Amino acid sequence: MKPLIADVPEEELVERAQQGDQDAYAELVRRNQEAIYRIIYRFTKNHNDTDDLAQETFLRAFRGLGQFKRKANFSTWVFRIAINLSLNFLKKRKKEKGMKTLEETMTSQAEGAHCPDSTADFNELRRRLNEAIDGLPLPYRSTFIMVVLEGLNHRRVARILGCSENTISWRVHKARKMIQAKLRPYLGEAGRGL
Amino acid sequence: MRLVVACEKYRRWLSDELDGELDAVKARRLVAHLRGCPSCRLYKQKLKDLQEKAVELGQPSPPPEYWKGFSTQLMSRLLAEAREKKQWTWRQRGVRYAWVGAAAFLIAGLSLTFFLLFRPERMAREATFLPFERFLEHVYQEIGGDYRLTELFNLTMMDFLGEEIGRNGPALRLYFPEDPLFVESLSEEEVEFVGREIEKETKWRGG
Repeated sequence: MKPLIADVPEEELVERAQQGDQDAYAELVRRNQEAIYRIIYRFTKNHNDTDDLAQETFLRAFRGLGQFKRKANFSTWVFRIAINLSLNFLKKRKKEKGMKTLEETMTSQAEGAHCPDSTADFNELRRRLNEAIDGLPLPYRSTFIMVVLEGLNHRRVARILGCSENTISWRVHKARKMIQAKLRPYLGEAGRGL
Repeated sequence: MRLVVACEKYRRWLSDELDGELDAVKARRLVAHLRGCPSCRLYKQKLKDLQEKAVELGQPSPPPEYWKGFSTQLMSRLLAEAREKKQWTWRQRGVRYAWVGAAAFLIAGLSLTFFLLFRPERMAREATFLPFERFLEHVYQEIGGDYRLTELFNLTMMDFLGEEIGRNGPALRLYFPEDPLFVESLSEEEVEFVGREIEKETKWRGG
């Protein structure tokens, strides 16, 4: 009996997709789309750009399937594409002033979903925390997002970003210190010992 | 200063520990350090608080219905791209064939030109020496006005004829004197002289 496509291992899906099986590729997309969306959103802070970049990520992966040597996981490879696209997007947008984000929308979504008992102080701290993360230099920001916010291990992030695990460890440590330093003035408002 | 440097190292280990990346040996050393370092204990608490707050930021996620539209749109773009790629492949193939055809045509044209310019029979024809009679005619035209040169040439020719007859025997006897062009190119005295010489030579050889 033929296994359901959802049960097929990633390696086999990749092989089938490389041979032109679009269902296999659709399954690979389905397995990675939410993580890719989240990662990109952490950079763009806006749904429309995230949607565009997520589509572009999977399109590029599809175009590059022939060159994909399967030395890394498909997901690691797609993450790398997504990160590169996001960083390029941020560099382009850096010059643009008055960038409009949907931060408020997402904050309200997150409030409803994750923190129903939130207070004004808590929201303020969260806003500051978001600002502090957004203010990190890009290499630290991407590392912090993947390790702390997405919970990926150092090895995987090292492969995605193309650097050593030691570098990842160092960047996360420095990012944490930078965020703490930025949040220090607001700690009184938050009422917590950050 | 030494203490600060040491604390920096342990603080990095604290960060690794939060990520679940600290090995057992380092973890034991970290515990030992924390026991004697209130500053690092406070730092650890701050790190944990920050981690909690970061986790509480939540996961950005669009509404569930978004994903259906996302995959539909993506797959239609992929299909369009695959179609375009196929068309493009054919177009590329056409362009490639055109190039190959042009190259073949060029090579054929060059080969033909080369062949026509340097074909063997032409080369052979051009390499052919002047016939003997035309050669003589040509030489006499060139040196006809110069008595001394003409005489010298005739003497050379006589030597040559003598040698030829000596090598080939009487079969050649009638050839040179009977050659109209050869005879025409010589004066009467010279013709007589040549005739006499050949006769003498033949007799001598025959005798």
